[in-house]
Amino acid sequence: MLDPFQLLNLPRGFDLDDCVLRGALIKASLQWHPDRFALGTEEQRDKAEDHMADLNEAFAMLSSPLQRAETLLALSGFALNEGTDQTSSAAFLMRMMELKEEADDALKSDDVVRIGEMRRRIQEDIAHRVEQLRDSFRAWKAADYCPGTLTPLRALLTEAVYLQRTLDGLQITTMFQS
Amino acid sequence: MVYSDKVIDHYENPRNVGSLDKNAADVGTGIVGAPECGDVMKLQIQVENGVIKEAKFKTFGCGSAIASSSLATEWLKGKTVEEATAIRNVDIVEELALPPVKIHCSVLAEDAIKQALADYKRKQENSNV
Repeated sequence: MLDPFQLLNLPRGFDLDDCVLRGALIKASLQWHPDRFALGTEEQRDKAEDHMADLNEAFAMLSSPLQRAETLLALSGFALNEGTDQTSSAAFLMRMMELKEEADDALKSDDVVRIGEMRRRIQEDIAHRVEQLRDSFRAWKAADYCPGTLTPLRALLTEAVYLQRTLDGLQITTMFQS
Repeated sequence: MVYSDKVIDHYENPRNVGSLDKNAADVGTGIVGAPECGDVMKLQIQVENGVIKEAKFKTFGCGSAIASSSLATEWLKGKTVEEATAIRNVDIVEELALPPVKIHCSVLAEDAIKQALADYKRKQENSNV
């Protein structure tokens, strides 16, 4: 797995300022931009292109707190499981079911105000979990990266990912008719 | 990726969509999710004399997840609780011709069936005490 922190020359951690991240990408890009190798050999150009692709991927892997959290867990060998969720409680899944029903209803109603209000509510819910994630990552570090402290962190992240996917699906799509 | 005709059929005409009373003694409820895709699936069975009389589902997810749970409810109806435990995700994969990237949807359906059966059995045991 590619280590985005290493590639962008950033310290590995959950706390990362958006501005610092963007700066790191620009700095690394200046060195590897394919245009710099326009007069170089084909091999050099290929290498630069590959490296730029890696840099862009690295940026994406760190670009949001949730993405960053997933990346940090994966780098430490504790990636979230793919497939059926084994961490969330039945009560939480039931709440997600109800939230998705509500989102479905809101989308069908085409009520922009209602959709906007619901999006804000979910965003707040995610932001709240991101704050908790920040504390959990600190606690993990303070415990010398003991895997035992990861259980609540993973549960938090899993919940946040559901909320994010629900939010992603709650978009007003404008249809243009000719 | 191209969906098979069977997936499209279940997606466009899902069978047995709905809910049963999750507090009823003869109803078993399974609720499962997959965080990566954000899917959430609820599958319920109603049992009478050891036979599944009614099966309902509600799934928020991709076409394959909807088709997998829709097919599962079709298969569950009329089966005994014992027979139902034999349903495997590979049967769903085969019937719907799911591509490898969508196999996890069939696993989700199998897990939902298992949970619903376990929930029903737990209720039965509790009521027999």
